Amino acid sequence: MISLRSAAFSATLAAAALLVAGCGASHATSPTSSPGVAQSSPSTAPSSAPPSAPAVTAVAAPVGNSTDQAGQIAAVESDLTAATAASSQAQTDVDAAAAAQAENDSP
Amino acid sequence: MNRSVRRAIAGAALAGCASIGLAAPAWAAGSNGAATLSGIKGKAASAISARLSSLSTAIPAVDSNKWLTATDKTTLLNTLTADRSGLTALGPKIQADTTVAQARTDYQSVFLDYRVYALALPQVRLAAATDDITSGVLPRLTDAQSRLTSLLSGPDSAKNTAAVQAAMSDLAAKIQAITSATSGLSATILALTPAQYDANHTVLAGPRETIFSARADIVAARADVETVVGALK
Repeated sequence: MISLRSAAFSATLAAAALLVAGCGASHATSPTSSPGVAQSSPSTAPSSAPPSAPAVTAVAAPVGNSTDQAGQIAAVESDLTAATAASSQAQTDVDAAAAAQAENDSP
Repeated sequence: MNRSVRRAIAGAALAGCASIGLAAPAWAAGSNGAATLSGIKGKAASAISARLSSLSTAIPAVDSNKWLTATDKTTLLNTLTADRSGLTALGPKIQADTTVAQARTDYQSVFLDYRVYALALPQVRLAAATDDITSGVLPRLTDAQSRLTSLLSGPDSAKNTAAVQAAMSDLAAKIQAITSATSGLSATILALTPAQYDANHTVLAGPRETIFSARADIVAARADVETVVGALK
């Protein structure tokens, strides 16, 4: 059992080494690619990688394609999150103002 | 209105009360119903200590507030530090008072001249709330509106349905309403003085209602954005 586990561990290390080497190669040839995205050998990608991850390309995407639309919508959703946080802070401030006014301020 | 003017008004008001024979307020009364110098001094020390503690908490909070505009921050810090200096000086003055009348006048000024709880600290929070909206909410809603407009006039024009157009129209109206409601609001809040509060205890009600209204518009604007995003996905 121990030897089987050792063999499996060695195989895992070897696969990891291949992946690291692959990432290094892709970074060397494609400076615009995202770290951790295996491009040269999809079949060796780690199982945790999302299967539907968009392909990374060094070519600028034309305005209006689906990737750009997704980016725009993501930016809008980020705006919404930030606006919500600031609005919540405004409510907190209004509540704090009311709390201060609840203190006795008369002789 | 500066502090010395406000103090003069407070003193005049107190003198007026004395001249027409009004009974001493409860704070000034000893166990036999008469005002005592030591009683006034004790209450004054307690009141000043509480306010200095609150100011010591508020000042660094204002200084580190990321939403306050630089102008509002400067105004608030000037007000709060002046209050702290004034109250710090007032404490020993009251303890050195030798008559009930002197101590009573100075004790009154702890409240009438500063209004730390009734006005100064609420000013801090309401101005911050306004700046939360103008510096934090509005730029994001405007950016979202711009991005959605670009998508709907370009790649997603086929999704620009009547419902989407209605949401975009409402979003524009809400952004305009929020902008109008909050324009100059923090300056209005920060310009209020203790004397104005003493004359009208509801001076902050209007600004507070305006902020409530703006927040309701923000909720609606967020719903509009969500409607459009939902249609584009």
